[in-house]
Amino acid sequence: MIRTTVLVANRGEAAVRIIRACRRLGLSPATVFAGRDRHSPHVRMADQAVALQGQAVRETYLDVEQVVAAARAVGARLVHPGYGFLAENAALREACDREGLVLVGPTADQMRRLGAKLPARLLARRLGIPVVEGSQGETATVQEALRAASDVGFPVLLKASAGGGGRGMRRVDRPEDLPAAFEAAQREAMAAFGCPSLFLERYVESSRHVEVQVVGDGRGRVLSLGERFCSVQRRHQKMIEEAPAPNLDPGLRVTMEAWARRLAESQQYLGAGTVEFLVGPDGRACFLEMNTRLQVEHPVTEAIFGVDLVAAQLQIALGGDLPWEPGDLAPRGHAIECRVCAEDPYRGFVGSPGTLFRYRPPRGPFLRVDDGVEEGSEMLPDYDSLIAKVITWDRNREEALLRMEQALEEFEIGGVRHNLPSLLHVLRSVPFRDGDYGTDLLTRIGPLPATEFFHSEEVAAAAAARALLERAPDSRKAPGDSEVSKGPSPWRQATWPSWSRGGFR
Amino acid sequence: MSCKQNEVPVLPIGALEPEGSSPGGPRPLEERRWTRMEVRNGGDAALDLVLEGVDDQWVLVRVGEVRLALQVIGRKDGRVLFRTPSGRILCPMVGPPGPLTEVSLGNRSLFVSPRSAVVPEGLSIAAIGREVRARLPGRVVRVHAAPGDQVRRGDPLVVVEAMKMEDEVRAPRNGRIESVGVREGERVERDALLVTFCPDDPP
Repeated sequence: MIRTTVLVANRGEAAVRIIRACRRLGLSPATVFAGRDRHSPHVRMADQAVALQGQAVRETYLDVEQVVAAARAVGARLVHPGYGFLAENAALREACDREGLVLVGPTADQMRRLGAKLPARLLARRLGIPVVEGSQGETATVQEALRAASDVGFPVLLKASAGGGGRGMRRVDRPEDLPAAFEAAQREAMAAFGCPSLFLERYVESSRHVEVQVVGDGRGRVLSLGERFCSVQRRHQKMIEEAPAPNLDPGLRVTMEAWARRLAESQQYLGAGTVEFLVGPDGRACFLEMNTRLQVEHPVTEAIFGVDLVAAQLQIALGGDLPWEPGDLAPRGHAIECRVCAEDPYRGFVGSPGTLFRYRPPRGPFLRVDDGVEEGSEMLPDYDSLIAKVITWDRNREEALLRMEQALEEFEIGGVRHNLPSLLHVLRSVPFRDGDYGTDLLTRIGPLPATEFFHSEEVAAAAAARALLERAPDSRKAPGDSEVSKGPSPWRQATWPSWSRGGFR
Repeated sequence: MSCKQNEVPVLPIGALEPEGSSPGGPRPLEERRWTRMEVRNGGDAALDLVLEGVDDQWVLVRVGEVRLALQVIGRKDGRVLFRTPSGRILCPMVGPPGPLTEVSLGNRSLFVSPRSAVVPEGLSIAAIGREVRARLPGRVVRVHAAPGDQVRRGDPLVVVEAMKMEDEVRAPRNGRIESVGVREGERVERDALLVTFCPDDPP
C-alpha cells in the first residue's frame, strides 16, 4: 500500500508539530526548507524534503508556485501550511484545487469571508454578533483614516486587513501621529502579507482577549472546544496563553462559543479555526476577527480536552467526519503556554538572532515543549523569534502555574537574548496570579527590573568560567602549584555589593 | 532558592569531589597577574571584579573587599562545574569567545569582558555620542536620515527589520547628521554603523 504523503509547508516548531501528527496517523510527511534551514530538525524528521530557491521569505516559504511544485515533486496528496507563511493564503488554496491537491484548511471562499478582517466584521454584524467599533471599511488613504479615527475617537488601532500575528498593527493616540503610523503599518502589512489594505478600530485599553476554538466538517457541522485566554501580549503579539480563561463569566463563555459556532456554521466552515473576541472592562464581548487556521497556542486546548487538533485537521482533510461528538468534549484541569522567544526583554523585545550554543528544554510530568531547534541551531533574522513553546497542565490553575515556573527555571538557553526572565516576571506578578488581567498587563506590572536577577556567586562563577576556559584546555600544573596551603582558607564570603546601575545610558 | 549567606558550606553530594586530584586550597596569583573584568547582566547593570587567581581547582574572585573562592568540580564541553562558598553547584557554559563573552547560567546569561576592552552592548550612542549602530542583525527597511539633517532627540533615523519586527533606531540627542552608512534594502550585522552625527551639546 502506498502511504499518503503530506507536504508540510512550514518550518521550525510548526513543521515539527505537524510532521509528528502525520506520523501518528501513518501518513508520510514531506517538507520544504530554504537556505540555512537545511540543518533544521524538521528537515531530518520528514521522509522527503524539497529545497526552496531564493533568499527573502517572499521568494521561499511564501512562494505559492514553489510550494505547489514541491508538493507535486514529493507526490503529496495533502498540503498542510501550518500557521504563519501561507496558512491563510487563498491563492495557495486555489492553486492546490487546480493541481488536485488537498489543502489542510478551509476553502478559499471561507478564507476570504472569514479570514480577512474586514469582510468578517461585516458578516459578524449581519449575524447579530457585536463587533468592536471602527471604520466602516478599508481606510485607503491617511485622510480617510483620519476621518474614520475622529468618528471613532482616539486612541485607535490601525490594522492590516490581511493581518495576523500583530504585524501591520499600530496604536495611534493623536491625529498628528497617524500619518507616520499609517505608513509604517502599510509597509509592514505589505512586507508580511503582500497586501497593504488597512482599517481601524477603537483601541480598548485593558480588554481581555478570549478566543474560541472551532472545528467544522465543511458540511455545516461545527463543534467548539472552549476558549483560550491570550491577554499577555507585547507588541500586539501573544506571549502567554491559558485555557480555560480565569474569572470568565460562565454565561459569557456559553454566549461566545455559540457566536463562534454561528459564524463558522454560516459558511459551512471546514477544518480548524479560531474566533477571537475582546471582552471590555464592562464585561461585554465583541467579535474581533477569525483565524482560519491552526493557532500557535492550540496546545492549551489540546491539553484540557485531551485531543490532537492537528490529527483532527488531517482526518477532516482526508474526507473524514469530525473525530468527536459534543459529548466527548469535556475540558479537564487548566493549561498554560509560554512562548519562549529570541528577543531582548530589556530592550523593548527587539529580536535577537544568534546561535544557540546552549539549549536544553525542561522536562517533567504534564509538561510539553514544542520546538524546532536543538543545541547549535541558528535563530535566523529572516524568521520570527519563537524558540519553543512550553505548555504545562494540571488539575487547577495554581498547580499548572507552579509547573510552568519550574519549567522556565530549568530551561537552559545561551547564545541569544531571550524572554525567559520576562515570562517569569509575568507569572510571578500579582495580577497574573490572581487571573485578573487584560492586555495592559505588561504596562501594569512595569518593566523587567534590570538588576535583581543574579546572585553574587553566579556573577563570580560566570567570570571564573570564562577565565578558566581561556587557559589551555589541558593546562598542566605549573611547578609549585601543588604546594597548596593547608591552613584555613583566607577567603571569606560576605555580602556582595549591589549592582551598579548605569554604564552607557 | 537564593543561597544562604555566612554559613558553613555544606557539600551536597559526596560524588561531586573535584575530578582528578584531591582538593587543595585556593591560591592567589601575584598582584601583577590579576585580571580586571566587567560583568553585565542582560539589562543595564554592570559590575567590576578582579580575578585574583585561577588554577585547575580554584578560581578566586574579588569585588571591592569581598572575596569568593570557587572550587572547580569538573569541566566538559564548555561547561564548568563550580562549588560556591555557600555549597551551591553552578554550571555556567561559556559562549563563543569575543570581547563580550556570553556565559549562560541556565535560563539567564551574563556577559563578561576584560575591563580594558569593555564594549558597550548594542546601541552605543550615548557612550560614544557620535555613532548610531544597529542593535541587531537584519535588513534596513527605511532610512529617514540624510547628511546635513538637523534632528531632535527621539527622531527616527533608520528602521531595521529582523525576525519580522521593525526596530526603529532613534536619535539619542539633538544634533546634525554627518553621514549615513546604509541604504534601504541592505543587510546589516549587529553593531553595524548606521549613522554618524554631531551632537548639539557634546556629552
